[in-house]
Amino acid sequence: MQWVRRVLLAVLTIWLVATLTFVVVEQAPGDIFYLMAQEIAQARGVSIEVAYAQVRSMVGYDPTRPLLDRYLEWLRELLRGNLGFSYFYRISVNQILFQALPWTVFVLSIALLLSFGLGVLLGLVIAVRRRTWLDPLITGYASLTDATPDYLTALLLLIFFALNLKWFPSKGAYDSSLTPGFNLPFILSVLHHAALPILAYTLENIGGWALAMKGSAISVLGEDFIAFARARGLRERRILTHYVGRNAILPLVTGLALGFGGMFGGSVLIETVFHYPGIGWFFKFALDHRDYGMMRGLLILTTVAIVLANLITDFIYPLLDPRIRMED
Amino acid sequence: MSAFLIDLLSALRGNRRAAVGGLILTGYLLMALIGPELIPLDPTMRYAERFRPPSLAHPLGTDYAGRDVLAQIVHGSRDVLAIAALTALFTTTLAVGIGALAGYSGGMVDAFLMLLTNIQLTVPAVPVYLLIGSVFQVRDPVGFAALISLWMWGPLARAVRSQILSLKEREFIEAARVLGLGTAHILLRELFPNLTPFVVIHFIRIMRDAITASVGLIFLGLAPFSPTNWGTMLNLAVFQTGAIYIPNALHYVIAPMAVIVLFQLGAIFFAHGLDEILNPRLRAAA
Amino acid sequence: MKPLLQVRDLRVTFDLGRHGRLTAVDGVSFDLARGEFVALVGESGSGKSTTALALIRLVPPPGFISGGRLLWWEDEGPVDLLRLSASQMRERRWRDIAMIFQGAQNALNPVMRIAEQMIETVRAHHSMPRGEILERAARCLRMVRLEPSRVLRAYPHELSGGMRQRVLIAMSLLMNPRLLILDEPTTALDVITQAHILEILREIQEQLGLTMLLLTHDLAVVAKTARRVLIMYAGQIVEEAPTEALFEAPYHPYTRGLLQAMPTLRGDLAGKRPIPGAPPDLRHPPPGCRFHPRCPYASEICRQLEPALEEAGGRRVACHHWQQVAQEVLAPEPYG
Repeated sequence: MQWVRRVLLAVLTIWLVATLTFVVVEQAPGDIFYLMAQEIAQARGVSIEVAYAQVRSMVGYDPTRPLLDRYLEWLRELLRGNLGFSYFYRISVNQILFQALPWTVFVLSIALLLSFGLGVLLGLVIAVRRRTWLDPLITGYASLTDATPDYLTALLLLIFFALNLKWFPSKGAYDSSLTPGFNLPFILSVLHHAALPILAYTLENIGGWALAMKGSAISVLGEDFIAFARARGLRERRILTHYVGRNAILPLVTGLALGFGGMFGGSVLIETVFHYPGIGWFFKFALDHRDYGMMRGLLILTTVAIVLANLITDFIYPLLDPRIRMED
Repeated sequence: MSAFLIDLLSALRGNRRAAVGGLILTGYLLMALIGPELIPLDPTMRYAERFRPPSLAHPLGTDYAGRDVLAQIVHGSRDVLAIAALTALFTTTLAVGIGALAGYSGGMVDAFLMLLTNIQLTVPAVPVYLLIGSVFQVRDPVGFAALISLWMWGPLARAVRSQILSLKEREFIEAARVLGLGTAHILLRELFPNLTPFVVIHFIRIMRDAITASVGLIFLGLAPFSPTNWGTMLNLAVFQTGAIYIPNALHYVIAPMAVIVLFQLGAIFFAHGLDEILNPRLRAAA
Repeated sequence: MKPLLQVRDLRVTFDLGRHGRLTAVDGVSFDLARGEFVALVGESGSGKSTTALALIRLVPPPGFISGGRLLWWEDEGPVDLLRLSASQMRERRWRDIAMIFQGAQNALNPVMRIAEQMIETVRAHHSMPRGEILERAARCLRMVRLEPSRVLRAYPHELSGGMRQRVLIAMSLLMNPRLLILDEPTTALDVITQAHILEILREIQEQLGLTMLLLTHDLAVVAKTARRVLIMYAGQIVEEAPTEALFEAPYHPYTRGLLQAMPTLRGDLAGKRPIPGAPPDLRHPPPGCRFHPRCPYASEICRQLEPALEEAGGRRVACHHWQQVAQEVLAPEPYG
């Protein structure tokens, strides 16, 4: 039962990460709750003890209890899906996440689709037509984007297209004067605001996918079944799609989850540059305000998302490669 | 080890990419080592001269306080490269240690270490750095380097482990064991020399990643301990002085960017060339 | 017999860049008639695989066909295959001439089922409804003694090596080609499967009356299947004869050497002698007869003058001393 093992590994990973973040945040200097209680006591004119009790009920656990108890209670909350408490906003992280996660997922999904889809196509083309100008162009481009960190790509796009040429907005997920909903102006505004972030991810990653596909396709082209397909009189186009393409793409599929994970990590930087209100932006916000609760919750969420993505690709891969199915 | 270096140097001369990359990297090394002595940093603020475009007096223009950008870049290079080198050192040590231990011991130790490695490879680095960095208040280059290396050892550890696994079964290791030579001896004298080539290549990659990570984190405002670090320059330009909104001030923003990209390119070329030299199969392919 | 393919002076060159040029097939000429079973024999490096690939114009780069004519007899008359356009040639591949490569373990697309690959093969030439194609495929599979219901659903890796080989043969019969070329169809298979496959090939050839060209280095295989044999050495044809005649009395020293080196199931190995030396480097072939460095009959003329293929009583041979060789009858060891 291969998949049972994988699921167990996934759960173990999440648990370990959660525990590590719990331990780390416990080391935070100063008593956050005391500071919060002070603020509440001042703002609402109540005594410190009452304020402290309020903080306790908001946060959901009692900071004065022993470490192990606190840990277990926190873990229990986590299992119920409660990602914790934002120290700054004083609401649960889940609420923030509900607003922010869709934006990040929206941008990342489109970016992944574009960079992978276009990258794979380009890689296939340059693998088959080795001597065109396309090959050195793409290889050079890939080197250049490899050398440019994602935040610099984002900055350059921001400076030139948003600030200089003013073709795109430089803040927000949509024009705040519009009402959200399934109306055309809103949808267009959303796309307009998402364009540069998506472009940043795509430009950064497309080169890598193209080169990976190129390498894979070149090795597939040397296989016997390609020559035999020609001997059978199959048309070149069919060989390209069903023989080269379908076989060359297999090793790349496992890299998809990894790429997705990397993009999640990069979202902190890119969303900050573009003031895009996804979970990356909120992470940076939490950093600025020492909101360890939010940082921890978002980190755990990110881990869960990536682990899930890995599981999904593990599940999909056998569907694409019949040779692997036998193991189950 | 010295034989390896001599072979390396002579092979480098023949490979154009490695030569270009190596030249660039050497340039940066020189800039970091002696640059600050040659180009003094004048911290006086002269607001009247803010955001001047490149000129003979200021080849890269001036910043928001009228200070020379080129001087800041040069002084910043020492900082950036030092952090990168330290990080690469820490990371390599950690990775080789973990990988070798996992590969050589096998069993539960291996399984546990590989679980840790998997976690390091799965969970994205930036959020981890930010969380740990903000809780533990990074205040100096060494601490910073230690932080970054904490989440960077995965790929090399895995590579070292598979190398050790494949070498473990080879005859000369069997022979050493039969001769009664201890584990430490086997690790240090027999196994490690075989790792040298690709550790060197990984070292360059780690330096690259370290620069990307360290500059990015400082850019986000995580570890503000160095005023001339390129990341600090970017942070000031983008978040604090609004330089990106001023068309004339672009040189101030672009300068640190260009200098980072150029270094990375140099490292990429050098590593590619090195890879071609050490893996002769690659030479024939393209 | 009606001619099917006439190969005239075929030349295939390999451009090895700074390593020079190599002519792997140097002026090869032979005829194939309808309904014949012919064997092309040679060691690895003799040029036989390259010759076969040239017949369907699939010589891989850096090789290219540098001369000759391939006269393919269609109903309207002969067509020089080398003069056809790429798409005209593609039409004829598999439909008229099918070739199964050496080492067919990896010849099928690993991510497609056998049925799909059968269908696309036919569809590349005719549009035919799936059902009809699958019926045909089933018939062809039964001809090679495979169970269609099991095989069609399968992926290549689910079948054994021998089964895959038979699938390839079945696939080659789909379009009813007039010429079927098989390059070492039984190497890498165990002896029992070998015999099995050869039996199947014989059956098919008799039933369908197609022309088979079988490439092999193993004379035992020849004896069991072919009616006529072509012997190739260092890119050239050195002997051609009906099978029985060849085995009884080889005219070329190389053929003789091959027969003498051949171990049999009954005889003992004491009298067996491999041919001394090694095949020549075709970048710089030896002057005169290419076999002379290894030939026990070699004389001065052999070192200077390349022997031409002569007619010799229903056979062809390229040797200055063939009469001498012919007279030395082989030690008695009837084969077969």
